[in-house]
Amino acid sequence: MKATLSIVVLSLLIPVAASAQDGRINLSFLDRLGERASEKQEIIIGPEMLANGQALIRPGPKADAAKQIVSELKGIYVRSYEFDDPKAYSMDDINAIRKQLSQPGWVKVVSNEEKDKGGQWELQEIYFFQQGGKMGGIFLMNAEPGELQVINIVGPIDLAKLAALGGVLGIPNNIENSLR
Amino acid sequence: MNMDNELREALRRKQAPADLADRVLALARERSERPPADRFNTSTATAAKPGTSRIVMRWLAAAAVLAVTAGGAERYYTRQQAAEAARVEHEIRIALQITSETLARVQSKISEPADNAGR
Repeated sequence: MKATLSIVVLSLLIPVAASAQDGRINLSFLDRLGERASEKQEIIIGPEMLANGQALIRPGPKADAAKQIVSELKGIYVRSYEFDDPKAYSMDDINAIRKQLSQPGWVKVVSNEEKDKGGQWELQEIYFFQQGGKMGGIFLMNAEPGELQVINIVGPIDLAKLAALGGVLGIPNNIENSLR
Repeated sequence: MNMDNELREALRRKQAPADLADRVLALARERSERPPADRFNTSTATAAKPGTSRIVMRWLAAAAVLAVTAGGAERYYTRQQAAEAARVEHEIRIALQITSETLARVQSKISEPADNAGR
C-alpha cells in the first residue's frame, strides 16, 4: 500500500520536476482564476511560434540581436488577469506558484511584498532559472488587489539583452528604463 | 424592270437533282465509317493512332485542372501562412508588452521610498 502511494506521489511530482528542469512553470492551475477574470490575456508562445517569430523581425540595426535572442528562447507564457473583486484570488494561489519556484535552479532575485491594515496585500517577485551556470528562464509575478500578472520566459535570456530589443517585435522602446 | 426579272429568276424555285438524297446519305455514311483521328486530320498519311488526340486532350484538361487546383492550394497556403505569421506577431507583441509593463511596475514598486512601503 505504501509502495503504491509512493509511486502515485512520485508520478505526480515528475511533471513538476520536469518543468522545473527547463525553466518552465506549470501555469495551468491558474485557469480557474481566468474563469473569474473580467479581463484576461493568456498567451502561450511555444518554440515553433518563436521560430516563426524570427521571420517577423524586420531588417534593422537590432534585427540580428533580436533574431539571436528569439532563436534561443524556448517559450513565452503569459497570464494577465483583472478582476472586479479585489479578493478574487488568495495567497494560496500565489503559494501554489511559489511552490514550483522552490525547485532547484530557481533563484529569487527581486521580492517586494506590502500589506496594509485592511488586509490588502500586493507582491512583486522576479526569479531566474539557472542551469549549469547559464540562464535558463525568467519568472515575473505582479500580484495586486484585483490584478495578477504572471510571466514565464523559458530559455537563455537576460534582462539586459531584452532591453536591447526595445523597438523590435513590439517591445516598447523604453523597456530599458523599466529594467534599470 | 430588268432587275425585277433577274431577281425573280434568281429566286425561282428549282427542282433539286434527283440523286441529291443518295449523294448526301453516301457522304454521311462515308464520314461515320472513317476512324475518329481522320475527322481531325484530313491527311490520313500523317494521322496518329485512333483516339490519340482524345487522350491528349484529356491529359491536357487534367493538367489544366491540376494546375488550377495547385495554384489555388498554394494561394490558400500562402494566405494561411500570412494569417499565422500575423497571429504570431500579435501574440509576441502582446506578451512582450505585458512583460515590459510588469517589469516597469515591479521596478517602480521596489524603487518606492521605504516609508511608503509599509503603508
